[in-house]
Amino acid sequence: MARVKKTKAERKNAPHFNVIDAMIIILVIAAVVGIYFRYNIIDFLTNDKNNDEYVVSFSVENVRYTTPNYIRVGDTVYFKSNGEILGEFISESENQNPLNITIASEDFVKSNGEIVKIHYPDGESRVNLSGRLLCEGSYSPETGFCIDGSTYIAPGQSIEVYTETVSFVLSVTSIELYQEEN
Amino acid sequence: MKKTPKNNISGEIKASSKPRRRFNFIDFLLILFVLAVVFVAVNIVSPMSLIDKLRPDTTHTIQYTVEFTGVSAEYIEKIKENDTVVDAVSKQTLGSVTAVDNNTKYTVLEYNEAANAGVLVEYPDRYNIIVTISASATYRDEIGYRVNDRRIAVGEKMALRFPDFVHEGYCIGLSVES
Repeated sequence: MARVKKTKAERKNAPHFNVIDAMIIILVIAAVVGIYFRYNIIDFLTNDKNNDEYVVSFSVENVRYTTPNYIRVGDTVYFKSNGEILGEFISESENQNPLNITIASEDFVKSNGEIVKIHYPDGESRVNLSGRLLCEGSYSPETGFCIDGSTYIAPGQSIEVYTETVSFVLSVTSIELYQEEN
Repeated sequence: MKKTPKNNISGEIKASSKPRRRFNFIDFLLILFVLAVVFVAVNIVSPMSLIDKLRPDTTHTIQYTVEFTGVSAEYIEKIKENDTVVDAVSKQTLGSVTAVDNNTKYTVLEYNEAANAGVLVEYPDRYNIIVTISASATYRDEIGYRVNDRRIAVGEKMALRFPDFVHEGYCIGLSVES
């Protein structure tokens, strides 16, 4: 008799599936689904990223003349705000130069009130840069151009960006579908 | 009244007949499973995941130069070689000074109306100081070089503290020694 009682007690104490377990499993599923939607809600709403390659042209104004030395074709450019990839430098000419460099200028008011644009006297002070980035993104008339289907950019926009060795602010000047040059 | 063993037994049976929610081994396994699933899910979808953070950084000795412009002449001797450099914001050490160039006059662009051109005019008693700093830095793809969690890159604005001087400037050069 004593042996039977012990067996019952053991059975009662044995691990078994209960309501708390079911709630935990539901919570797991909810957490995973929540995380998925947190990071994929835009894709979910837009159905598909439909990314294509685009060329984003940009300008950078009034930087030290040594800054272009740290920029190379193929360098990846990231958004400073979230660390995501914006694109990578492509060459501006056949000699694999990623940038066009021009001497920077400033505006002055003459004694007669006329405003004139005056350039720095040499190339060893301040310069302006322009170049192109190859970016993955999608365009639609409703949303405009979005990098990787999520981050909106447009001509006229100033964006804080960085590469592994340089930080700067670029202004987007144009966005065009990439057509491979022969 | 003396309690009998029978009374005791019936008391225990009464107490145990109440439904009890006990933490059992399956609950423990399930919680571990939940944590594992959430950890993996977050790390798969997050661009700055813990898995990325677990990747080892490589360590390098770097030299970077910072330019302070328009510094008053009375301060240009305040930075010396071997001075310890501290980030004025985070108070973290950012290396030590290996060279100081304080011979460059501070210039500004002015309009010469007679020549209808721009000229660089030297400011009296103002100098540009270029400080070269050596430091041990960690490198990681997508971030670049960091010294004590401070990203070092050309164009970065830096507020630096030396033993006898503090100023704000821009990083203008970066090279890797090893």
